[in-house]
Amino acid sequence: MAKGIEKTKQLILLLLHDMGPSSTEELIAEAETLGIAECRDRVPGAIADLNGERMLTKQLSKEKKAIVWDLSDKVDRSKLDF
Amino acid sequence: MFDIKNIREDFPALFELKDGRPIIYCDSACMSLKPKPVIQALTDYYTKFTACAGRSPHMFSRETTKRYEAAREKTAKFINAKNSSEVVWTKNTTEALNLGSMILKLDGTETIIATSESHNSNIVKWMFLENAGKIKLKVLDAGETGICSLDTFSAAIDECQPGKFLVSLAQVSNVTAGMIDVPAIAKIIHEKEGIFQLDAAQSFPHLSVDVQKLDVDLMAVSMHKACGPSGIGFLWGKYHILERLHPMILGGETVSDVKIPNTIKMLPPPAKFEAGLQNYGGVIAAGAAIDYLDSIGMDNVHQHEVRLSKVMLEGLEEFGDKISYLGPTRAEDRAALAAIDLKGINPHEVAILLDDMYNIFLRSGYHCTHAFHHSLDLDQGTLRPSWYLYNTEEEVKVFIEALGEIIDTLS
Repeated sequence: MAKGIEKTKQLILLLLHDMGPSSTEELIAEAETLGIAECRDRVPGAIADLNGERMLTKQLSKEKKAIVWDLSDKVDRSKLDF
Repeated sequence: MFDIKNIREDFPALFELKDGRPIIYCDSACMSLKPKPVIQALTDYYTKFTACAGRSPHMFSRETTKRYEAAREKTAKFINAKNSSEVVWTKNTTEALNLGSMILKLDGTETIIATSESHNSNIVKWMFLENAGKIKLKVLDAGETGICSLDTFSAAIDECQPGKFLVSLAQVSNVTAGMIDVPAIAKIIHEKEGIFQLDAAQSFPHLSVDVQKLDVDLMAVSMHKACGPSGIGFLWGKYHILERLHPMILGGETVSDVKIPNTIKMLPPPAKFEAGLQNYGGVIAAGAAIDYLDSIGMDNVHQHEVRLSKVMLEGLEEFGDKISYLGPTRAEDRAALAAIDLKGINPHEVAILLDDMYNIFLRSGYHCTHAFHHSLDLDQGTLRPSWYLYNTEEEVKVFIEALGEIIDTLS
């Protein structure tokens, strides 16, 4: 079972799968609701990691005053280790 | 003479490239970069004389012992301690503050005074002990400046029983960058026989710290913010306080003899606090970091950082009401860092974009001061550039320009 940042990365993928395109703050808020076992400040590092691994796409949104993240490719929810 | 070009040459990480382009490192309040002599000292320990200090009679062990204790001597001299026995090696500031708390009787009669801007390392333990009924905790409201007035301290201390309180404060805040008047506060505390524990995590790397002039009783330091390796710090304490302090971890090297049934003969400070195998390489490299800072001169480091702060604050002022930053407005009154409120833009996103598009590395979020951010309704956190001796004014200007471009893009 994934632990630490790997678990958080799996959670981010799951959230984007379920929520669709989301800002960093929306992802952090939802991760906190689900009871992430890390400080909320760790979540952006996980997002940046996934971005570096080309698992995510990003768009800048003036409306949301935020980056909007989405999955680069479809993710099989059942295979996410969270 | 402070030669920034030469100083930068000492820090190999500054010359790392990301996507073929140079980087700007401004996360030194979290972790400083390491100069070559520190890296060399660590490498030497692991390649030339790896051993335990003080345990075996062979050459490697003797060399380790010599350098381990030399690092303690250097540290003591650097902070103007009366004696090197006043320096106790720990993992970091957090462990040192926890060790300092072992001075308490924990019988429910003692009061701890902290402030709202305290780092988690200097408040979580107190909250935990209060919840367990072991202490009474007073958290003074530091407001947006992060600094309480002397009158506020006086009033809080007046309500404490003489000799039954401990005041635990950061000399420099890791979010407001404000500096407290340590000797003045120490005078108030000592007039009522209290103990003053100083969190010097953000001051030791940047200012000349003289424990005798400051007149605190205990002081906690992390070396990883001061050009030293990670995983090593120290607690300095007045010797008579260290004699009263209970060890937090017990085991080998803390005793001179043990007999059954139940007879232990404890060693005096600092040995009684340094149980088990120590981070010898870390301590030796910490000594190299102190040599390095000493060779540059802490006054020179501070003056350079004031110049960087001025450039940063002037740049931030240009943003008008699009942003605000915490703490004092004069560069001379603060450390070279700023916790910036981006007024509705999430600081994490800006930090990600600074990394992704501009190769600028800094920190975002609560910076381990969750309570302070919540108290100011900064629930998204703040963006925190933090500069050190190896940064240039040009780098600060590049950061300001990049920040402006991101804010314009997102708003």
